[in-house]
Amino acid sequence: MRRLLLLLLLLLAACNRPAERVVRVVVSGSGRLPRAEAFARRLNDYHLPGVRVEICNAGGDPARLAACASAGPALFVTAGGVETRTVMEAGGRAPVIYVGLAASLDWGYVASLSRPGGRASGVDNNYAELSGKRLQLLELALPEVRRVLVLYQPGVVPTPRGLASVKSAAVRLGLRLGYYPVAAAEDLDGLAGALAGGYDAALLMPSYVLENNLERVLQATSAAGLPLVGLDAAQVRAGAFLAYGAAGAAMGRQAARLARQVLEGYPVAELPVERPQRVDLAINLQTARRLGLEPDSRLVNLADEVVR
Amino acid sequence: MKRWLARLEGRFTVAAAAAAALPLLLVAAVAWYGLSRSYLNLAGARIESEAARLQGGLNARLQTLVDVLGQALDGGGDVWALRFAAARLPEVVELQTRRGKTVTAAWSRFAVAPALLRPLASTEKNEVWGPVQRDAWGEPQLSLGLARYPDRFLEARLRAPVLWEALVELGDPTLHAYLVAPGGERLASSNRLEVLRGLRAPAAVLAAGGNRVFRYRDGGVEKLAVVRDVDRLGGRLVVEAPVSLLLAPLSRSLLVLLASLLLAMAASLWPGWRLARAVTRPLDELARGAVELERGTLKRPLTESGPPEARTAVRAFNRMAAELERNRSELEDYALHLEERVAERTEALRLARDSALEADRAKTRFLASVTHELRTPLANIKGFASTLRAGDVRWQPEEAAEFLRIIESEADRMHYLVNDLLDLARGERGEFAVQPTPQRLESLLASLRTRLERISGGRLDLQVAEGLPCLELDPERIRSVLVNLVENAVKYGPPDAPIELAVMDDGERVRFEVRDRGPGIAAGLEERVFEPFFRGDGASPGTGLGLAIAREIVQAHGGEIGLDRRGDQTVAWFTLPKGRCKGA
Repeated sequence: MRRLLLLLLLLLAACNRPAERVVRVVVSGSGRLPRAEAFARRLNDYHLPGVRVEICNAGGDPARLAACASAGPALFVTAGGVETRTVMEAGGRAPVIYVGLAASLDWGYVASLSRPGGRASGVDNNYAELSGKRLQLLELALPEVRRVLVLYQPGVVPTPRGLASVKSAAVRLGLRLGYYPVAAAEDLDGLAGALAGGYDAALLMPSYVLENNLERVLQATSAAGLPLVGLDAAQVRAGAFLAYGAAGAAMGRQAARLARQVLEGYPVAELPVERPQRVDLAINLQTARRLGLEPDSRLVNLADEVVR
Repeated sequence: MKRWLARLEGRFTVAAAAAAALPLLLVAAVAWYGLSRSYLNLAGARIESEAARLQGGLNARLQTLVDVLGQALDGGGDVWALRFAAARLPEVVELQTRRGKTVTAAWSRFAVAPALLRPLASTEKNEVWGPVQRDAWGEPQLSLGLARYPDRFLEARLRAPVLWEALVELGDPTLHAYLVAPGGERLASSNRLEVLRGLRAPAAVLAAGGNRVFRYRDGGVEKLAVVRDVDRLGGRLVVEAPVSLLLAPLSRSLLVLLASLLLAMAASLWPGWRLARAVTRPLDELARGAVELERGTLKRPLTESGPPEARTAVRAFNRMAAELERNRSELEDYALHLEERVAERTEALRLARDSALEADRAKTRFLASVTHELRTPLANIKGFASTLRAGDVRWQPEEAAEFLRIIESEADRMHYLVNDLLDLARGERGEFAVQPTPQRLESLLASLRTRLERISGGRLDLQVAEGLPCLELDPERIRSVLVNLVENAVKYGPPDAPIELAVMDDGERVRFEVRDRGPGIAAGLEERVFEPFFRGDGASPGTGLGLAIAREIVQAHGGEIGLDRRGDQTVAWFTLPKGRCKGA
């Protein structure tokens, strides 16, 4: 009888204990790590029973990135386009929540923004659409700018939409553009030479290669004495002159809410894609001073974050 | 399980458990009713408070929107004024200012060249809120129009969820709050899915009176809600929570308490049940034992357990069962060997009957012998007496004397016979009287020697061992035994053969042997010669009582007597115990 009671208690304890569910945050490199960390912190704050968050940082290594996409977790969280593509191409049935995917519709992972219909949904960072707006803000900050070198990664999904946005804006603003494709980190070796082609500034397009090699890009632009327009405030803090976009950490927190809903049973196919809650303007006056630039003070006053 | 339950059946432990559990459940139900009502009242107050806070924050934010955009309009309404306003208001998607119908400035948060907004503001009202629109992302957008006399206007498109997110930081995660447009569409919600999905508010919420707590059922879920009007938008602010979720902490606590009490009761039930079992187990054992005994046999002894009284009862039962088992075994054994016992008994009875018949025959023989032995001398006495008295014959004195002597001799013979019979009768009754006195055998034999030599006709060879002890014996009786044995040797032995009388030490006894060269007695008749009137040849002279009396005498002294055949000798012997010879 005593054995039976003990067995019953153990059984009850086992039943009462929720099965562990792993949420794996897949990050291609350190450039996107802040959004992954912000996501993990917010999801942990929800104290969902049995949920464990793990961050898998590939450190720029495609093989490691593929390993991060291996099956096992209950939910994948991807920090950008290449991560989302790797996980989706790895197959499996685990839902995917992306944190800051540019041009969601172009990837083919969602049928529509309001009703994705597949296994992926998340926060679209609007980075491709905002590329033209960045050019406009650069022109407001530095009216003397006339030629801009656009750094982009060919062959990635958001690039066409981003380039179209930039081209349209350039036409409207009367700016001339040059283009420098970066398919891999090695391609940055020729960046300095390209920047010496009479440009007044450089504009960064959404790209995991460029984001994860931002330091090299900044070294090249700084050496050329040109301001770099980045994607978000983190890049401004790193040395870019200006950025306009959703903060990665904010998107991480926003995506954590979506992840909670999925973990609570809401079907990801019915989970609408969200746009960022905030889009922030950030300006680095230190960089401006170093480059001998004097940005329009009115725009500086508009900035949500100013590095002085 | 069934067996286990059957054991529990009728036990007082079950009754005790039921008696304890029923009031417990009753108390739990009453407590649940009272506490849940109080708890819901408190939750209602909390919801009201949260709704008031949200309403205040929302109204303040709307006022801020109007103020900031109004300042932009008042400040000239150029594009930089719009940019400043947009920078302060994250809800803003697009702004435009007009002078009359002419757009003077426009700014978009996302687009380089913003699309022109439909004119909304007019001089009739300083502030106008237009219809809700949804963008490509599904987000509802509010339209606001501000007017400044006489012809300056501002139109704005605002992201409703962003407006909401700036406000809503619900302190209580169990609560759910949303903003409803006048048409029932959800503009913002703490669950953005409801907004993006375009879910409408329940009819009960739209119809409910403002500023009071009410309960309603939505899709099978009962909710506690408060509705507050947002006058500026013409919409309603709803704060609600599922009743089950509100009561969860209470129900959890109550369930834990109830479970703890039940566990405690179960825990106390266990020793109670054990105690009951301690009493009932011996009874069960006794019942089992009784059933097994009724069926034939107790398969194994009952186990002693429980209190001392129960152990004593079980022990007594085991003893009783063992006794019954032994008796049963004996009965079975008796039944099994009954035929043998009957045969044995029958044989014993047959032997007894034979013995009785033999005794009867012996008595007949005895009477015949006595009759015969008495009639012969009696006939002689009667004949010689009649002869003497006959008147026709004149007997010579010598002849008469001879007749008288014969009569006297026959009378003596009858006298001896009667004396012997009396001695024999005493011996058979165990009343044969001997008067032992200390005697030295040498003296006894010396006094008897002459008589024995006369009887044997000088053929007696007396062999007396040296150092014979003194014996306690009746000298007359022992002399008669020795005489009888020597007479028999003379009577049955050859006339010229020597007769030996040997006396020797035989351990604890003294042995007397009379040996002759006679043919002896037939084999198998050695014992019978000591029976009264037994004669080996049937025609030897004498009464036939001598050896029978001799046996009585020897046995009266504690000795033994017998007749053996040793080579060509017939040995008649007897022994006497040495004992202590007092006064010798």
